[in-house]
Amino acid sequence: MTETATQAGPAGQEGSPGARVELAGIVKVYGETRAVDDVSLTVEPGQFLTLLGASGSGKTTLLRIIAGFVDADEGRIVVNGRDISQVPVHQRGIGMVFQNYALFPHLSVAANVGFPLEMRGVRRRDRAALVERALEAVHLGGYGRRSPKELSGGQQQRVALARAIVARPPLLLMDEPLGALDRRLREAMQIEIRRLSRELGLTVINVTHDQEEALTMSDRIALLAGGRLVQHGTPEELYGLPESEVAARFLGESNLFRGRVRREGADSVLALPYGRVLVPGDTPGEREAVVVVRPSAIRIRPAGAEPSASVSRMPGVVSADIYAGDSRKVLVAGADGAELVVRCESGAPLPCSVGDEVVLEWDPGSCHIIPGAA
Amino acid sequence: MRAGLGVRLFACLIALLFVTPTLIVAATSVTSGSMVTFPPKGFSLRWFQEVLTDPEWLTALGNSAQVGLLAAVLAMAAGTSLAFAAARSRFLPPALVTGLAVLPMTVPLVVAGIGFYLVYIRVGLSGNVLSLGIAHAVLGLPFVFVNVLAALTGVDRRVEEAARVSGATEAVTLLRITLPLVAPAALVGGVLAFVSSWDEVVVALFLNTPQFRTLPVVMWSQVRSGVEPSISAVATLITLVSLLMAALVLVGPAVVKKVRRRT
Repeated sequence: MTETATQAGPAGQEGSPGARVELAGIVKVYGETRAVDDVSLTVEPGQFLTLLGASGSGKTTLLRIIAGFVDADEGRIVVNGRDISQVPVHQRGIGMVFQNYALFPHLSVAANVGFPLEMRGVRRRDRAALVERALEAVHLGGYGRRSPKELSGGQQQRVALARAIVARPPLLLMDEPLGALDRRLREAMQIEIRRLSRELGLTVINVTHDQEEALTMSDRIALLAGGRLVQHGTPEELYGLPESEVAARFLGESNLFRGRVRREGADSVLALPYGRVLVPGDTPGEREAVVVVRPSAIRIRPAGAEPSASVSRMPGVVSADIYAGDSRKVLVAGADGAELVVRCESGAPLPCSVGDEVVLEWDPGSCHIIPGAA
Repeated sequence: MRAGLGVRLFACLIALLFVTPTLIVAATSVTSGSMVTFPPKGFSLRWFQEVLTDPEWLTALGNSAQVGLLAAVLAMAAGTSLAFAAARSRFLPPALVTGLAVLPMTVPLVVAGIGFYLVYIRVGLSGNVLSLGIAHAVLGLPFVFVNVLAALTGVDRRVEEAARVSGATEAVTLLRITLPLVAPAALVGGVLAFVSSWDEVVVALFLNTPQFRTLPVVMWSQVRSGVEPSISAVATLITLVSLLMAALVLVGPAVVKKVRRRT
């Protein structure tokens, strides 16, 4: 499979690296709303970037601006050093996968996949082989003569993928490509797409609202909210070191504690009316901060248990215990009424049941501080 | 939900009511006598033979066929263009385009007939396939327009975008993707336009000349001088053609799909 995929390009472009894409100050205003608000970021050749955000975050508009379907009001799109902001869609040489596949329903699978080649002036006799290789790369060899309507959703999306990569574009755009597929298929396709993009060295810009997909597939994630770029970094950075509350809330489950951090003896402490949150590192003077604690870092102990040394402690009452296969999610109502989320291994017996008073503990090192946030 | 027996019987009764006059006319056409009578006297195809060898009827048949085809082609072209304007134009309000395109359906045929008559006298166009073909194209246009507009609103814009991003210009996208997708609907509209022209008599009466008459017009003038079984034979022939067209509309799209799948 590896062989066929890497041979899929026109002669002379073997292993052509993906494009370097620079977005500089992109702005798009619809009426009163700034759908995309001054977004600048760079995608290195061969990188897999995910534009992540809730609906209305501007991620799709940004993708459509890169594709050329929407004109930005301000800013530049530079691909391999060339400003393509004014280049019409059909001359940008981009591959794109749409959420609903967007196959040409009146054409055969082979004609669908061959369409970009045909538009690029590749002769008919050369097309057939390239089309077949692209189909083999998505495990659909021999399906060329079928009609898209005869295929399942997953197969249709593979055809769409083959069509997007057949001409070996330096840049592949994907607009929620897996949104219409069921979970099992989605996960298989995530791996598939990642393998293909690596083998072909494509630069990929993928749009999704699914944080799990973003974390699994991406080299870089650009988190968008309200049209603005919230944070841009590796999945590890976005999950482990969120720079803002928005980022901490969007990626994965998190417990947030807001307050003033100050020095108490040897420790830095976020003092809350009902508990103490130890904060790693030295704190010169007092400052506002938000502390992020991931649910898996928290341990649940019975209310009367001997307190462990130098841990953060928080009393609460178990309000729900949700079994989720490989883990269980326990909701604990804190003293201020806010609900805290704890993830435990589902194998180990839970030392409590719903309604019990418990103490939550976690190591200071496992939490992350968002400085300056108030 | 399946209809109950009573409902189905009622539907059959209504259908029978609709087709009875046609069946009676068809029956009178196979009479061996020389009068229109029901039930027919004996059985013979002599009146069909008479009609199909009579130069007057044959000329009228040819005229009707030509006018119908021209009307269908023109209606398809204009109706499809207007449907695109209604669905896709950035400048024209869709309500305005739709209103204009379906207007021919609401204008009384007498008014339309007088209108065309007056205009054609002015421009010196009358008594030929072109003049009546244009008039019938206008009358048939709404069929094409409504059909294509419905098909066009069903075309996923992202399919067109996929073509654009694949390297197709807007013109190529239109020719290779959008038009083929709405072509079956346009064809159905065209067939309906043909059928509406095929039996249209009011406008055709206004625009006929002694040298240029369509089948319905000839029938009309013959009926006025007395009904012969030849009229019944022509009526039956006209009906058969219309039925054939209706069958084409109903079965055509399925056949097209099958053929496409094979290629």
